Amino acid sequence: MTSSMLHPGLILIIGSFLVPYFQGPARKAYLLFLPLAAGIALASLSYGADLSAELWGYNLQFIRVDKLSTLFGTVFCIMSFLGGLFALKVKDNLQHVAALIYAGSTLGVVLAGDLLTLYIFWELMAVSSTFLILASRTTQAQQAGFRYVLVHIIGGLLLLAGIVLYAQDSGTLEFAYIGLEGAASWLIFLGFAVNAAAIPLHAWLPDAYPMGTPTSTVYLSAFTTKSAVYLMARCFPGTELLIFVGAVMVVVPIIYALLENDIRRVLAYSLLNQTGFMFCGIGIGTALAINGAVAHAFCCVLYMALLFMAAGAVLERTGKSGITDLGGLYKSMPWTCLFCIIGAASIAAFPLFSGFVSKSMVISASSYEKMAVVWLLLQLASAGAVYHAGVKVPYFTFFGKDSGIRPEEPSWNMLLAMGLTAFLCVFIGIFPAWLYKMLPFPVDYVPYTGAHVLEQVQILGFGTLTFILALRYGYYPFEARSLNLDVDWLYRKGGGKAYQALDWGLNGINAQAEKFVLAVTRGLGRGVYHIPTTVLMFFSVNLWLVMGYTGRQLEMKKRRLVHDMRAGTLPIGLGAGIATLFIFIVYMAT
Amino acid sequence: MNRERDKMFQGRNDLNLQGKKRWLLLCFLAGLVILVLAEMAVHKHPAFDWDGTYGFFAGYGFFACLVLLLLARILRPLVMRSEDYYDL
Repeated sequence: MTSSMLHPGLILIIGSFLVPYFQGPARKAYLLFLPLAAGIALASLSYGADLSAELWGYNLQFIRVDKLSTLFGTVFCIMSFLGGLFALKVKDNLQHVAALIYAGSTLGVVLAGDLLTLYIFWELMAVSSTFLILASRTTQAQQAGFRYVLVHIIGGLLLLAGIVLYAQDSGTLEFAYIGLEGAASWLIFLGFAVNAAAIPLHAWLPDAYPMGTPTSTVYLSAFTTKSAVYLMARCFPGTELLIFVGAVMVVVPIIYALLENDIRRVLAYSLLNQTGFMFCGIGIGTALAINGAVAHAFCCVLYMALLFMAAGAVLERTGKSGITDLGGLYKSMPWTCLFCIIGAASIAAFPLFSGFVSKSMVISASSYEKMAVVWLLLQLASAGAVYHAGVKVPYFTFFGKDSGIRPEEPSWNMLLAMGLTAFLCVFIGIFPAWLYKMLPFPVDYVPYTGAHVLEQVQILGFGTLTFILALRYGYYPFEARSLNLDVDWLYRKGGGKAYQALDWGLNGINAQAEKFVLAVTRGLGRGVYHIPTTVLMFFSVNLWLVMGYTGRQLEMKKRRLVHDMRAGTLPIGLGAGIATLFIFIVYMAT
Repeated sequence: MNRERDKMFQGRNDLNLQGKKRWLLLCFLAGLVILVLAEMAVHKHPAFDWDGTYGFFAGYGFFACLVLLLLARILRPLVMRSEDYYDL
């Protein structure tokens, strides 16, 4: 342990507290300086270095530096800088502070070598990101933020329960490969899966992310899911379940993206789709697949942020994010349009853009393992990128039907942030070696072969053809101001419905039980009164007949007896006589 | 119900194929033809038995997107709700 080691995450977190004390240009400079400082601190950590301490007999490792954590740390530092640049002109200090704490705690998660440190940064990440959603200060954002934090509290509790069990079982808090075996690992897995927005635990993401401010959603898109992907890659590589989840995740979100009207929600579904590729890679678990998954995470952070920046710029300038309200913006926002197309080309894995060099690693890995179904689904999702990333965001927003809106380009800092991100996307696409040498396993993979490039362009080209045909012949599901049901229905409507069902069910049972008890007691009461009367009547009538009463007299006697029984005013002698008689009969009978 | 269905699928048809756009479309289609023809020139490394078939990727790209469109059309009436569906 060297004392000169600075934790890059803590630089951002502690540094963020000073943001409100700066004004004007000094604040802007400070906002850009912090991510740079964190980046330098990260770069100066040497491989194998660790900063550790002892607590209650457990070894805590605050910093673990290896290729995997450095890769994610690097992209998070880059993203923190670009996001800061994009949001530079935002006056709201809450957003800046929350964003820096969020980025810092994500770095803390990525660098953590033990589960306790991980958990603390994990929760900090959830809390700070909630403020980025609340920063919109609308009722909708408040409600979405509330649902968001509830889901993450549940995820965090699952993780905590898993950590406690894990520490019990293994006697240590340090972690590396865990693997899906036993309750502890399942709980940890579920905790990670919530943050990675793994289907079916994904609904918080398309619910909450589009509610952020134009600038805060850029941060949101970058950190939470990717840090969870990092943890999956570290703790659960080769877990078969991840392949299944990933295969669902690459397909289903495309369909939702096709139906969605809000461009930022379309992008949220794109994000889920991309995470699916990473899950498949991690699940396959070969060196190439893991390399592909983490490389894809690296590229995805950048192009997803670029797309959210473009959508944010449009939202900021027009105040609109529904496709029904947008269209033809390229005329007045040509640069934003260009950067958005670069982002879309990257996510669609067009050759020479970043997605191509990383996504193809995952797809190739599935073919090397002879997983035909997975391979077909991944290729299907590759083609579907036309729809989730090409059609809605660049095409209908910037081209399509002219909405008549002529917004200006966003401010210089936003354009610069988008330009730098776009540059990185193209740079990685053209010089993949730069990315490949940072990957955890040695890379022996050539993305640019003739066949490969041609196949990918064919897939995208013919996918686009379907769009043109569908549009021409009215087969395309057109945009409508609407929302689409997703799993969040379960807790947004289903909760209420469950309450109603319980209300109906339990109160129904209650009412029935009450009726039953009433009927039984009433029956008992009647019985208690009727049986003695009947018995008494039987003996009395016989007695009276013997004594010679008939007709009206007998009738009178009977009526008086019933009246006396009801009023409890039976002559004692008669009652005693009857009782004696009764005992006598019983005695005789036995 | 039928009118509602119509609203779900038939909004605006904004593919107006005139003038420049017509040329763009023709160029695009020519590009696709070239892409398929170019397959003769490349050396393929099929991983399975069937993915080396001529035009496999072109056909699969088309088919995959059709499937997605079809699924979206099936799903739309099932999941689509008005924007204030969740409002109290």
